[in-house]
Amino acid sequence: MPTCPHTAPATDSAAGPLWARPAMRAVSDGIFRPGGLALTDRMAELAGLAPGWTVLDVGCGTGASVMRLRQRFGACAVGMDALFSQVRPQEDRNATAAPLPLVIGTAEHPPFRRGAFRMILCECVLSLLPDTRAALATLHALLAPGGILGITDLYLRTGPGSPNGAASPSSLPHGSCLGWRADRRAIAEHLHHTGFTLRRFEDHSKQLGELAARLVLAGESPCLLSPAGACGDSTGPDTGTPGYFLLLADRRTA
Amino acid sequence: MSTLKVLDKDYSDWVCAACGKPLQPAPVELEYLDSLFNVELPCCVACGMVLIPEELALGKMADVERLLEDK
Ligand SMILES: [Zn+2]
Repeated sequence: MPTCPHTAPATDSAAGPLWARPAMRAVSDGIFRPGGLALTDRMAELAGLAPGWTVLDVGCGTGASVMRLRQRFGACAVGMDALFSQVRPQEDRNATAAPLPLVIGTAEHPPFRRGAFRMILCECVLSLLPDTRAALATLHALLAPGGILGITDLYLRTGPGSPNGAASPSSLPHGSCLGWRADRRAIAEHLHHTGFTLRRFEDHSKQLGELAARLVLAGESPCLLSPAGACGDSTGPDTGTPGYFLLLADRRTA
Repeated sequence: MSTLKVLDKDYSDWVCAACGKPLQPAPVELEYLDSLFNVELPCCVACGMVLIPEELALGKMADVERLLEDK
């Protein structure tokens, strides 16, 4: 399972975060998540993103999506990331271009006023946060009335044991990037409880497989990429099948 | 996507069986199911024949096939 290091929390793993390894750098062209910019485009198109929209990319990393949204869609896009080291490289690489509006901040304490954004993107980020529900509540507050939340992340395509038997989101090991350990139904409920209405849900698990395949070709052990982090039981009935989703949700005003 | 280096060994001393010409690393597209991967493999400089060494076919490529068939 590839980690989604967009806002990977500081890890004390001896091996270090997957994104810091040469193989991950080699396969991802700086976009450390399944689907890359194609899924960013997809979310923007499905949302009907129009020039001038204020858009926040939570966990912007080096700002690739922010640049894309500005250049291709004319969005007034800004990025926020918890880790300064991830925010800086884009500015270094584009010393001659105007610097991207990337700021340091966390989903728990974002440095923006309420209702500031028309759309918020969370690309492979939300499941890494210690309290998904609190983060969603904060994002709800940052969205203007009628605002749209776009999420890509890992999830359980089939839950452990039974199709509807996904574990509770709060039981997710912190930083594991195994998604919410929630299936589609549980994710929709989660959004509902935090003031969002699910508008669209798409499975993009093929992108996850392709990123994993590139990592294997580049020399990563397939064991590291299996859902359970161990060889042999990767698709066993007790772990569920990991997948990758894209969703759009509308901010409810009530 | 960038071209991936997938081989550990050096195959520059191999020659093409058909032409007798040396092999040189070149970018090649591998296709599995409907996924494409850009990798570097030894190719004949004359006829373009691509060598897929046993280490690759039985190793990484087999792993990749398994990964993609899961999805
Ligand atoms: Zn030849």
